[in-house]
Amino acid sequence: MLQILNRVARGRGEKGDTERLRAISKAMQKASLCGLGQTAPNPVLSALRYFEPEFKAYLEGGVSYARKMNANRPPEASVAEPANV
Amino acid sequence: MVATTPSAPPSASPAAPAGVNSAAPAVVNVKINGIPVSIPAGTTILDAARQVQVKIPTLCKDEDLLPTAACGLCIVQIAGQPRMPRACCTPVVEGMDITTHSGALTDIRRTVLELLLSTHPSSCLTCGRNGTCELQALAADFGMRTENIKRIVTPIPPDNSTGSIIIDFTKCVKCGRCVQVCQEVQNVWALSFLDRGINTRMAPAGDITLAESPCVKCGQCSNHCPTGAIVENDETPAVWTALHDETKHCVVQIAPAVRVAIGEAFGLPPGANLTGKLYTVLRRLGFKAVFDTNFAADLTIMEEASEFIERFVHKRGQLPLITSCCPSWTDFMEKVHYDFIDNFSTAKSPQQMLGVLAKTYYAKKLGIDPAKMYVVSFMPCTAKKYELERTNEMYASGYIDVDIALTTRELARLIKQSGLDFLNLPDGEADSILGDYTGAGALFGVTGGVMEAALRTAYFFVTGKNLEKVEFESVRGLQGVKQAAVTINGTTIRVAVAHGLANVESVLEGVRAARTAGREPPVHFIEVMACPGGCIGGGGQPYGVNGEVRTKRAEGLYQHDRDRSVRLSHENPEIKRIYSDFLGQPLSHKAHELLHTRYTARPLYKR
Ligand code: SF4
Ligand code: SF4
Ligand code: SF4
Ligand code: FES
Repeated sequence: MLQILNRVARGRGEKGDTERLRAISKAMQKASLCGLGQTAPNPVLSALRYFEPEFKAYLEGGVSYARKMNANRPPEASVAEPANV
Repeated sequence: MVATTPSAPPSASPAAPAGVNSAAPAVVNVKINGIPVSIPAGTTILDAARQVQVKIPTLCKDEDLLPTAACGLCIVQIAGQPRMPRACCTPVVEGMDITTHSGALTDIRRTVLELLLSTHPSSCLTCGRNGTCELQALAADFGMRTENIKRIVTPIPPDNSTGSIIIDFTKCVKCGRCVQVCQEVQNVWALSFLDRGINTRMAPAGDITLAESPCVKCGQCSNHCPTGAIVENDETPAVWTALHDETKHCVVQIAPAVRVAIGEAFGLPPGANLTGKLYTVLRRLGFKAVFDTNFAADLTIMEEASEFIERFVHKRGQLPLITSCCPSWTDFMEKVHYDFIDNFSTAKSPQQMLGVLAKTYYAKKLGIDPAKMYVVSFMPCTAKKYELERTNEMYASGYIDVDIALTTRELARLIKQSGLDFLNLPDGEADSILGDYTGAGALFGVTGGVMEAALRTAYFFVTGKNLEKVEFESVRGLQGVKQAAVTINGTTIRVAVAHGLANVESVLEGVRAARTAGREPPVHFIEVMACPGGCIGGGGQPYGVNGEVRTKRAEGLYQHDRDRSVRLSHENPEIKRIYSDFLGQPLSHKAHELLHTRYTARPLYKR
């Protein structure tokens, strides 16, 4: 998931990445053994729920869009936080 | 007169069905995919589903082992529960309404599989488990056609330090089976979980190599690994090279347990006895002589039973006498139980006896230069590869006694490479002077077999008469520890049989306690085989072993014993001949020189 989030944040996301994130999140929620795994994907799911347009913008805008959006942020943060959280 | 009294303690067998609470047979009623089932409480959903002919996909669960619940493929839905529990480790509860297959389940199982594949190298074509891999089979069944999640394979170099087994960490799915086998079944603790996350690997603590670790090369980890992460060291190319080398005189031996298991690699049920076809196939592969390790097993019995008589009747040497034909067990003893070195039979294993006799007795008789001989053995066992160079005594012929040892799985591969239609070959015969064997020799492949064979001959050595009933039922079966008392001429011999190294502890503790207290040892003769079930359950045998498979392979050997016209090692005509022509008598100087070995304490840790 981190791998996918990172590439989206860098503007290098791939078609189907949001669906991929949803599928992995759902598998984790439903099939994890412990509460940690079951709740770990929650932040990703809420990000997808409330900021879907931003995900789209990053996916469609590509690297130049991501550069512009990330310009004002410290470099590590822009990688770790893909959407405008 | 012989009287055997089984006094087997209800020991925890490693093959006990996991998760089944046999003490409480209360029945619960559940529904699986709408079909009502009544089933003992405590049964897992996975086992319950089998009752309605449903096979829930699994990867980490092994029938031999307790569930580790590591993979998440066996998830099911239970009405009223938001999460999907894992069938392999969830017991049924009264009134459960279980769904094992649905759109949602299939989707999630696919995602779980995608995640597994995303950390796995795509090297199926060159993998030792190509065609037998459980992950590969799942990927095929689920029709995985695209790589939906980008692959990240942690590059950890493989461990091929032992020459017996190879660990390729990149192919590990972290199911934990190998760790459980090594720790719980074998009590060796060579493997453990190291590190976290994508760096997790099953390796010896402290990141030392397997060769430096307590590993005894039993190969049980390779036999239980679902993937190609732990495989035997495949040496089939070396055998082809030798066979095609005109200057070499290649001879071959096959171990007792191989013949009743190799059929599984060709689609036959476990226990099918293919001795005759093996002889033919080996001859057609180009071996100049085909010998049988069973012959050497008879010889081992002659030496070992004589040793026992020396110690028990003539009171020369330590009791109990402990069998030594399993190299994993001797390795374990030298590392952990070295206070028992004096109790060990010095007789070599049948593999090594046959090797040395091929390069001395046989070579001399046929006028062959032993330097040109190449002895290949096919064994159920990965530790036999290690045994070849175990000590200097393994070079008793002046050359390496056995040049190369391959497992049953490698033999199956060799046959498949040859293009020979194995199952339709006519039955052949073994070659004389090292090929004839008795039913007793055949029993070496199953737990309790060495004991049974030795008792048959020991009885003769003591009384000068042969047994009327040669079977010793009390040392048969798959309980972890079997004990029996045998009365010969009014003297009672107490014997114990253990298989699966974890079961050795209780037997040896009893002996140690008696030793400290200055009492008589509680048993006089102990047989140990490292692998559960003995060599029929060996680490180099075909995959998919469980209690039922072991029982069938064992039955194959018991039937083989019943079918032999001669069932007592000392009655084997070729054994009689080798003593009169070559060795003199059991424990003679010559026998000691060629057929016996020694042991060295190699304590691992100062405890
Ligand atoms: S070969 Fe046997 S002792 Fe060695 S790691 Fe595997 S299970 Fe453990
Ligand atoms: S090495 Fe094999 S048995 Fe061990 S955890 Fe990995 S996949 Fe499972
Ligand atoms: S029990 Fe047999 S197969 Fe297993 S390690 Fe010992 S000799 Fe090898
Ligand atoms: S088989 Fe149940 S979690 Fe792997």
